[in-house]
Amino acid sequence: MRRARCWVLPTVVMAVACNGGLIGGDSKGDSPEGFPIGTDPSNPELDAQGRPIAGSGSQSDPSQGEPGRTDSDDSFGDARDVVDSMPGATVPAEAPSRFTCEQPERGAQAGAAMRRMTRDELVGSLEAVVGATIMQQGDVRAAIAAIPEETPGDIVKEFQNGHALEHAQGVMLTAKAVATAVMADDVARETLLGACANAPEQDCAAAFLDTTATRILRRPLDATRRANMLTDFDEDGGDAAAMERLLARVLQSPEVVFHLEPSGKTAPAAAPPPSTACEQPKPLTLAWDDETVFFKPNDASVKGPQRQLSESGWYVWEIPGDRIEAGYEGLELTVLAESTDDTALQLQVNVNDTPMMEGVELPPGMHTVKTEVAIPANQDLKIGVLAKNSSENLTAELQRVVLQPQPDQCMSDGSVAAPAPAVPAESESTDPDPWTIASRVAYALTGQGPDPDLLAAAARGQLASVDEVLPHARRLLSTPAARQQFEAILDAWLGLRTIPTPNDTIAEGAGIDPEGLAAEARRELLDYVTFMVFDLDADVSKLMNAPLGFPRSERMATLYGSAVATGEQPVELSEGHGGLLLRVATLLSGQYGASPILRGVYVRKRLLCDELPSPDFTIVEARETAVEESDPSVLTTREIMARITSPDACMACHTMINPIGFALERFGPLGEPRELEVAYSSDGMVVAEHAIDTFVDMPNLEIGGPDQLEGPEDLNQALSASAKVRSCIAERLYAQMHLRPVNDADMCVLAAVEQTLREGGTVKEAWVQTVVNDELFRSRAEVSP
Amino acid sequence: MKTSHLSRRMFLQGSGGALLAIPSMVSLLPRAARAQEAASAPPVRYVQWITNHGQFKQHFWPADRFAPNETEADTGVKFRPLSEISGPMSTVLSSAFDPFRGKMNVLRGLDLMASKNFHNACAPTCGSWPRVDNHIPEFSHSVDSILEKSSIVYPNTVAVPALRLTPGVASSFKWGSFCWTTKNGKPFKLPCYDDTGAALNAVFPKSGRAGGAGNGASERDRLTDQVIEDYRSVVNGGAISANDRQQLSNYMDLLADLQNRQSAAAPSCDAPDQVRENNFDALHENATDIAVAAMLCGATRVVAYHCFQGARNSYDEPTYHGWAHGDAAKHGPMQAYRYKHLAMMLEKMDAFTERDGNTLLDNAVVYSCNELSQPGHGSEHLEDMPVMLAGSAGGQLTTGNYIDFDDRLLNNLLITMFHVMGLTSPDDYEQRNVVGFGDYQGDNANRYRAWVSDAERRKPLPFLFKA
Repeated sequence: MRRARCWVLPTVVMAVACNGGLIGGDSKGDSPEGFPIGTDPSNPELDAQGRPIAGSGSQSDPSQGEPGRTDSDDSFGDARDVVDSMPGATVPAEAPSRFTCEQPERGAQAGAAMRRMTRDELVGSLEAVVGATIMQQGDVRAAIAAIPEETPGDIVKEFQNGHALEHAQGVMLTAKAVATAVMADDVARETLLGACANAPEQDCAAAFLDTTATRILRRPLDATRRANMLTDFDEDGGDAAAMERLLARVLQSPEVVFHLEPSGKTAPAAAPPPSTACEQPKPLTLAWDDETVFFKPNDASVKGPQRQLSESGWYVWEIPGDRIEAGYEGLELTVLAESTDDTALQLQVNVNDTPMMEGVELPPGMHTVKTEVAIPANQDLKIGVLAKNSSENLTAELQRVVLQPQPDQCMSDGSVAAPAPAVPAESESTDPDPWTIASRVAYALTGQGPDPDLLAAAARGQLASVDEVLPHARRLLSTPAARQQFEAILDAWLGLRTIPTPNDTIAEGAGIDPEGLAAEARRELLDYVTFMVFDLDADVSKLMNAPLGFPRSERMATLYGSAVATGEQPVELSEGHGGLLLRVATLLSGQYGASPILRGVYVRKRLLCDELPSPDFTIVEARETAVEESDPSVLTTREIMARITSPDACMACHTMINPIGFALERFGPLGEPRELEVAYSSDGMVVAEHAIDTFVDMPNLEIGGPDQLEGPEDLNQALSASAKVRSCIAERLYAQMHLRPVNDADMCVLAAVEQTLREGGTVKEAWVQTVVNDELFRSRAEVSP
Repeated sequence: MKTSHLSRRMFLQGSGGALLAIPSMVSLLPRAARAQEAASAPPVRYVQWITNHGQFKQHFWPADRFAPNETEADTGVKFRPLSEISGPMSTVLSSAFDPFRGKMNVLRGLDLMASKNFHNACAPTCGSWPRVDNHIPEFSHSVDSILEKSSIVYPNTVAVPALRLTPGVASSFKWGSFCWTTKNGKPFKLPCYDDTGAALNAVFPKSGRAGGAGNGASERDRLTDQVIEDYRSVVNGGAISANDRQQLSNYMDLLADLQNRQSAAAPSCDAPDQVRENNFDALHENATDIAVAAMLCGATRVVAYHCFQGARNSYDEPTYHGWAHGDAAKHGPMQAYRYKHLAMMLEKMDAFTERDGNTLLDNAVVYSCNELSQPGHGSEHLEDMPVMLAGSAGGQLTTGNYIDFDDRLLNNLLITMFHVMGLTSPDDYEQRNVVGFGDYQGDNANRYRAWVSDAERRKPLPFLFKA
């Protein structure tokens, strides 16, 4: 009863009093207000999804929790302590693997038609190039809305690999609207069109095709198309209107609409590695987290690399002379400025304490600023960056610095290093070319096209092996886009976009506003999983069982019996919730009561990837009559369900379903913990309260699984040790990449990923493994002459 | 007729009790357009209005005491005038439909020949059921997809051959659309506009037809030509597989189709004003206005409309599904809410008088149905499908009756739709060597033996269809 009284209390204070343990906070006695250390105790503003709005301190810094970070650097140390204190769970030795590799020579993608871009992929790819400001404009958004939306259900099962007229029309409208918006925006025009921004002519149009268009198309244009485009540009007048048309044309190219993968047979030749062709140094790229150099971050409390720029002082790279193997004459600095009010960033750059750039104004968006500077070989180098913010709404992040070789050397244009013009080179190879590799990796892990670094590596021919690709894949995992992509996997896998809205009567009884709760519950689950996967590097065992959560509102905290999570730190869930299953999002019902059957089916089909045959609905209908005839004032839901599924025809499946659902009966229809079941009549009147029985025999989870479950905690523990859960995760990570169910040809990759997870590998590494493996370098389809 | 005080918003909104104040649409058309159109009779328009989660019988059919009680001698079809039914016809066919009793029919006794109890994505419009529980029909052609490609329906190019709408719901979701075709030999669910802004712009483009940069038709065409040329270059490049080449060729066909549509005549009226969409009532009001205006102004003759919300502020598929399986009390109001918007559409269609003196509704056939009959999809889940028709298709259909066809195939109703749209030859509508239209397989086949000869399959429904 204590718990039942606890969760309905509406205030944070009372929730804390009910043992809503706060990680790093109240439980240690050093935060009397009961909030996680270092967080603002004020309740953040929430958006429609229940997520704090930008600037409210809730966005996780993707740099956090990267491999190699020491405990002393770990901002999430308290959460990690909680997770580390959990009992370990290993897969029982007798539990069989689901996937075996029997035909390693068989390509998983052989014979498959290329996939069309989803709307999200298309829009995300465009946004990565033209910027969010352009994509948020009204006309552009209206045009995007004309592209048919993908299913909010399981896209792996429901995706159709074909276009209807509405797709083509929507893409055309979007390309046109984006082109118009770019031409009307001084900054975007200059960034994307370069010299053509103000005075278009053929040379700058050619440069556009060799730089920006390469980014949009993810590979250099072949010579014929490039020549045709330039001819048309001239015939269209060679003016601003012609430039707009050229941009609109590129934005609906086959490469934009499809995952086009021309074979190496006649694909554009990749740029030859500079060191071979020119015997000159490559550009030297230093990522912001390159630990081979010495850093002096802004924030004195931070050791090592720091992405964030601030006004608090110079941010300095000190590069030892032994890394400066040759002389350089150009410096490029890539900075991402983000603002909610269009405030510009003022940037100053010193090289060896000599000002090289002052007062460079950068509006929101990604920018590469360049300067010419002589950097001699073999001498220590110091690059200092100062960002001046005039607005609290502005943040700036360093992405990388690139030192460019002499102008007369190869790849001196500072672009993505595409050879221009690209000349098709005949080759008999049908292996995917480096551009294809770059695209495959980028779309799988970010849902967007390759970033400049990846394209540059493709241009250099440096994506030829797993070892060469892996660093890029891991780098991509630190981007916000990777988290979004992982969220897309979760949405499809767990059905998070079709969570029911709570029953009004039930919600009212609990003092919970049902409006928007489903969306908020979804957001909470996503925050939990991405935190575990990306920030704590969790393996399956921890992911499935950690008692952590991100309830961002009082109502969510009430349901969890916890405090409100106000920042990047999770709160501890001490009322039995946790893991992937025991959350509001997965337990929520739209009916008067939670359905043990639906919950059991959910676990079977979603978390264990079990196949359950469709029931004979004639029998189902007949048994529903039995439900109507059961008296909820006398029988518990468990008793009613056991009774109606008792016929042999039902039990073939329900022996697999019912025990799981019964074990979850300790959570009510809102996902709240309970010790009593409140029974309702069909018209919403309370007719009884029943004691709850969550003990089940023979849950039949899998070979090696438990013979009994005392309740949901045991079920969670069993799932955390489950071989099936691991194979299921492997399957879903892989299937999302191709947007189709897995088949026999996929077994080798799946077997390897499954094994990684069984051996305690992190989910993040398993995800990378689904993408970066030998299969990555195999042709998708035979080329026809 | 005082038209000058009425804003376009007002006349497109229509309203009960204000019909006398609503002008005929023809009075608002440009004079030249009127002169041109006066030469021919208004075309027949087809609307399929579909919803999901089945229909509890007690909420849809008139009470048993109002069962059809007269028999037409020639056909043996039972009927009863709807005017004889006192009070609202049913919970779903509420008093909102009363003004149209003389212009509508309620049909029962129409079945599909199904044996499996699966969820259905195209039973009402394809006349087909899935062979596995995946929502994909075996016969993947819906009526709208046939009509939109017919040169009989469209002797001239129009901008939107079929206006498909799923207001507020992504049509790619399981039940999201009851519009199917077959592409490259595989079932393909056709997308619908879930966004009314996109639908409005498709029918009434802000700056001409969908096209490229620049102004003027010739420039727009040029961009499309350039894009097609890029695709052709890749197709002919020789570096792709046959499958990929097919994909690109298909897309080129779509671009060419778009190009062709740019030559379509502009709608003969301006776009309707739209209200702020702060709830589902407003959403459907806007969507219905677009559909009605598109039909009225020559932009389309085929509309596929879906309504999936269950209340002014509620759309919750899993909960509705739960009601379908066990809560008829909640299911009834949900369906009544949906059909309220159908009544609104009828009202708007009936508010416009065309040049032949008929209203738009008179010159149309509005076919409403559901994914299933029995919500629990028991053994009779595709029997006695809940059909309501409105409009006489320009006098081709009888109206005003509650008709019981007593175990005939729904397929014949779809054949009836083709006939009223002018597709009277089997060559006009038959697909994949199937005689008739839809599925003619199922464990219940014996029950329908009288209706499955080639001749019977191709017949429109008797009594309803006036030859």
